[in-house]
Amino acid sequence: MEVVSRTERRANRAFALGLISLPLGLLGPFAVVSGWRSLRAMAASGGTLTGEGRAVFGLVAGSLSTGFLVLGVARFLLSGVF
Amino acid sequence: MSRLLRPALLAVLAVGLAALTYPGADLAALAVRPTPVSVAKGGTPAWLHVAHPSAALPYIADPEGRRVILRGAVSGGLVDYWSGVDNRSLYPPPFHPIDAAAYQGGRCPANSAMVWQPPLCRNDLSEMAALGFDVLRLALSWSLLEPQPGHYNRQYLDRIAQVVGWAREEGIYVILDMHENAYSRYLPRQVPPPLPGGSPTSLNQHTGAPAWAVLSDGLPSEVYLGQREFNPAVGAAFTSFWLNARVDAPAGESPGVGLQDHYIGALATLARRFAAESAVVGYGLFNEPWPGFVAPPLFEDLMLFPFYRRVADALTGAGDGLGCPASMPALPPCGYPDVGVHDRRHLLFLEPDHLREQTDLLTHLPMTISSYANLVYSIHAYTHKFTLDALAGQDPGQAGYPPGGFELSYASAEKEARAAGAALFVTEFGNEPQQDGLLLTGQLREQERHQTGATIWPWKENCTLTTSWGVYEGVYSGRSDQRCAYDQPVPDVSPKPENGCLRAGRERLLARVWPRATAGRLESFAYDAGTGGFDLRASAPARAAETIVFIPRQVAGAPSVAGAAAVRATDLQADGSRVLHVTPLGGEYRVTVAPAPLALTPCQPAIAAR
Repeated sequence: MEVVSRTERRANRAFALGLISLPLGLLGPFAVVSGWRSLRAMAASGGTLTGEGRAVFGLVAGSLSTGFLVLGVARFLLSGVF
Repeated sequence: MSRLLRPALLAVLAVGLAALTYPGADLAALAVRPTPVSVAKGGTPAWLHVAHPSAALPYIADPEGRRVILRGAVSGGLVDYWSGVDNRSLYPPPFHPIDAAAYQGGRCPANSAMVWQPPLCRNDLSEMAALGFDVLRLALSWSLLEPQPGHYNRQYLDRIAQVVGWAREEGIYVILDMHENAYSRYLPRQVPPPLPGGSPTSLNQHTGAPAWAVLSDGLPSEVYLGQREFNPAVGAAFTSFWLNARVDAPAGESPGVGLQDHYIGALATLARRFAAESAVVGYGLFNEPWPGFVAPPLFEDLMLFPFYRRVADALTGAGDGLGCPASMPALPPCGYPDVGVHDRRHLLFLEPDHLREQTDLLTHLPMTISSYANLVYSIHAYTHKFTLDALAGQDPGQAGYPPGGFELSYASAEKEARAAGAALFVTEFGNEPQQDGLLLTGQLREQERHQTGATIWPWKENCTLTTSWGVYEGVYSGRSDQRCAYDQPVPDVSPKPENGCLRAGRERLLARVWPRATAGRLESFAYDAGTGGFDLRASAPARAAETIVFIPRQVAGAPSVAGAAAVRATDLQADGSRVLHVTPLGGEYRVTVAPAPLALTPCQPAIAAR
């Protein structure tokens, strides 16, 4: 029987969120969650769901953004500006 | 294989994009560690540097480590302003001569109401000194420094050197300020009818970039909401600059072919010319940087502060950021090649986003800018003049913004400067003279409380739509209509004197007693312009250097010292001002000047030309 594959819906969301999170770090954690859930859904789908690249992009970009968001906030607080 | 290749390529893309945005900018900032500069000794006047006390705000200091507070004015006399009476005339040549010979021997060229600001002449420096000013922020134009791409103008450099020489003779430091307002006066002017909501551009207060550096992508030049920066062509031109867009011309003497490369080349030309000149206290790298189409905080964090880092790399050899070559698109983590100037003795004055004038608060995320230690964070303080309350039309006396009034801008600026590893300075403040009682008095009080130097905008101004802001009256002194010729129904093109009378209210407020150099810890100081009284409290160990208190000619009260200090000498200057040399004896001390009637200057109108 032919297996029809389709793109996992959260993969596109992870890609978009990851891309936007690079300049706007606040979206980083959402990109990470979307990317992670998307990869898990793909793994459980038996090959019917695709979009690994987009999910990985979201996961990596979101992770970097989140890391530097935390760093930026820490720097912001430690600077004593507020 | 292809199943793995695609995610791997996209992961690499994610890392690459991250390097070029906030994560990359953060990494570059984190890698920067301020490194102490060796303090330059000697010099006439003495070389200044930025001292970095532990757990405190850096401050401008002299070779003996004393806190130096510079006070003065901004002159636009060397700026390439638009002039004329015909608003359809796009690119008139500079009105005031650039040739230094036109100003030699005390001569001053004829002035006119066809241009916003008068020429800067030898008498101006004497007049500044008579008010006690010890710094001039000399506004310059990139359009005159580099009129053709890659060719820097030696005649203009000579003219700048002439003013620096005059300043040195008067004991005045000079900040060489790369001035700019709404990017350039060489914008294409949109003729009516404009797009809906827009109005034609008035180029008479636009300054900065030369015509060849206006890359406005064909967008229309017209103004929205009456704000000269709210102009599509201005936004595009700024964005091109911040991205280091390529200029369609050979690099010439410039280190590269991008807009920033040319600009850095202009700064390097200045820095080379004045490398051994201690009367030049430093360089203002960019006046009122406008974000173009990039919103804050991205603009400062990803464009402006990395640009400042690149300039510091180029001029000082700081070597921060990634080793990117010149001519590249301006990426946040990129540093800049050392252009061979190796200037480690001058201060670099860095202004935040122009929009900070509206907020009186930071518009960026604090980050270290450069490892070069002589950085000065320079704000424009226009509380109740250009802040949000003023834009909303509120009365300055009853404004709902900013919370805390004048204090907010200074308190925040101290923290912003400290986060950047820089000293604090106010490169502009000012208002119409009618508002001096509230606005100017409020700014001067905060400058004393925060122990920061400042330069008032402007030194002299010919004419304006309301009342000229200058320390001196403009060319229409006493008249209710002070509009420039280009705004008059029947343009007045007759020769004009350089200025009207020195404004008595300004002399009263600006000719102040203040500690020019303080040894040890400066606790507080305050001058009362109403009484002429002065009070300073400080502490210093025995054998510390002297504290220098300046008393202008206008202030007649007797000085006295109490506590652990003694007056070593009181120098009476030729103009009647006094310089008090106070020797600390170890501990707390107080310097006062008794109240006494002020001796203000009688009006001496200037002549039309000399």
